[in-house]
Amino acid sequence: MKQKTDPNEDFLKNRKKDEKYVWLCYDCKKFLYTKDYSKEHKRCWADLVENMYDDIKKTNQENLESVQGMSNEFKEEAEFMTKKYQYIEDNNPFEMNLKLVNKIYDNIIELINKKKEESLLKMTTLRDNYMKNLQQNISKIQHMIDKADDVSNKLIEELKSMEKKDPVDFCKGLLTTNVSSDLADDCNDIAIFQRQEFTRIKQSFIDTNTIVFNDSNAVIDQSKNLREFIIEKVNNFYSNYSKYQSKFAFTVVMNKKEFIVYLIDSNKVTKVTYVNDFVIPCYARWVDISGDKLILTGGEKDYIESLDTTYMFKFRKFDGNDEAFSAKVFHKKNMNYRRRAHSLIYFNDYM
Amino acid sequence: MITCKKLIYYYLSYAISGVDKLEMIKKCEKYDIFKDEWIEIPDINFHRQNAALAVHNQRYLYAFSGYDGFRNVDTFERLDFTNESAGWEIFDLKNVAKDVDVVDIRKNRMGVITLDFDRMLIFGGERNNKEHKDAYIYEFYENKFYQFTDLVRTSNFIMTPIYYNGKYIIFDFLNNIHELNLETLQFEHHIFPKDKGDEENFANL
Repeated sequence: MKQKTDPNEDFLKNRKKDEKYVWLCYDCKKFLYTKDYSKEHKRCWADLVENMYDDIKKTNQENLESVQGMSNEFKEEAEFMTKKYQYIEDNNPFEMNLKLVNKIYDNIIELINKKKEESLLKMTTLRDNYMKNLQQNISKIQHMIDKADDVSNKLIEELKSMEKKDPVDFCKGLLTTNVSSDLADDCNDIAIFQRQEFTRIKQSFIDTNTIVFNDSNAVIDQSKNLREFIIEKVNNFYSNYSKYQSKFAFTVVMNKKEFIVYLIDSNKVTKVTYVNDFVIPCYARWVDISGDKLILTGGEKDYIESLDTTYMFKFRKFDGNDEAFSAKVFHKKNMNYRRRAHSLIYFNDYM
Repeated sequence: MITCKKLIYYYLSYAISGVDKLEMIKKCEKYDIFKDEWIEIPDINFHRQNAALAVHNQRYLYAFSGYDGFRNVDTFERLDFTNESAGWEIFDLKNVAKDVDVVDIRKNRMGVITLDFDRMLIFGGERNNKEHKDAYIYEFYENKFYQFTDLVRTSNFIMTPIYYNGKYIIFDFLNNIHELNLETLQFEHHIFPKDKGDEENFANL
């Protein structure tokens, strides 16, 4: 069977070398000479092979250049990232951050544990005092029971003895041994106990019982309320965290009794003059320590000597007015050295 | 009786170098805010009046440049919080800046912002009684300085920056406010409205 030849292969094999205008028809997928193209393929989309060759060559050259450029950029970035990776791996800043977050949450847990221990201590103390008190009362009553039993026996004996004696003899005996009188005193003691301390014990038992019961419930209520409070606050804290971030930046003014508040969200600056004898020394240095506090150190004393003082400023915003602030100044422990124009930085909660 | 363990938090403030009488001092100390006590730490190697301080990765305290009474210091130092007794380690600016005259952090009262794990931004400051607005990034992993977008205007700084919601806020020496937007990495500037005579007062500080 005769194999059918590819028309394009056939065309290229028998191609006229002197024919310059060779076309490639996209629609018919055939190579053609100009005259054929104009005659039969007027509606087809075709390009001169020479142009296609040049265009494709140019595109390939441009693409090569572009790909090599991108590859070089990738290599540069990969090298940069590898160095960074190595740096991060060597220095491990995440490790420090993990430790810090762990420490902060540990502090919170420690705080709660401290309160837990205090509550348990309170409950244990209530129980111990209650039991001790009860035990003491039982002992006191038991002592009186023993005494009453003893006096009863003695009275029975005395009555038996009286029955055997003549009244005159009995009364004569009173002059030497006054058993009945002593027993009467004992009875009186028991009666006083019954009227006074026994009544107090009975009443106090009822009262103490109620107090201890209520105090014990109060500890439970406090724990439950703390749990509710924390759940609500914690949930609120995480869902509305932005509300808890300080929206103000504070600074003070050297040589004046002034502080400045920058309301960050609204780009507003408020200057506040405070009523206090403390004037910010020249060349003092201060640092923000928690959004609403500043530590201020040192400064110039008399143009030559420096100061070793430390002050803490506590700022407060008044409710209902976004621009109303107050400040309190506290004198803290002096530095070990006098200094001015020094450098100061705040660093919290390291290890 | 149960004894409750006392909670210990560390809130520290570091005071570095400075001047007393006419003497520059190398003495350094830290203040424990809860205990209300100052504790001495190793002396810094060079006098550095108004050095720029920054903490890196919760571990190192950096003190950049500053003024030694005659000139601005061309070194910076760092202290390892985990090993304070080892003292301050010195870095020569010539080894970390491509061209120390182009990347010039030999100033005092510069501002510093820690951008991320391995970059710090150092800007502004004063040299030869002239304020500057140029800013540089210090790449820790390469131990090199690079130029960054300048401040809006020349300024010098004595306060550490405050972070808020994607930006850093820092008051300059005249209490004007500079904001660095961390998304655009551009500085903005807000001028503090002053009373009459304030400029004269500030000029004397």
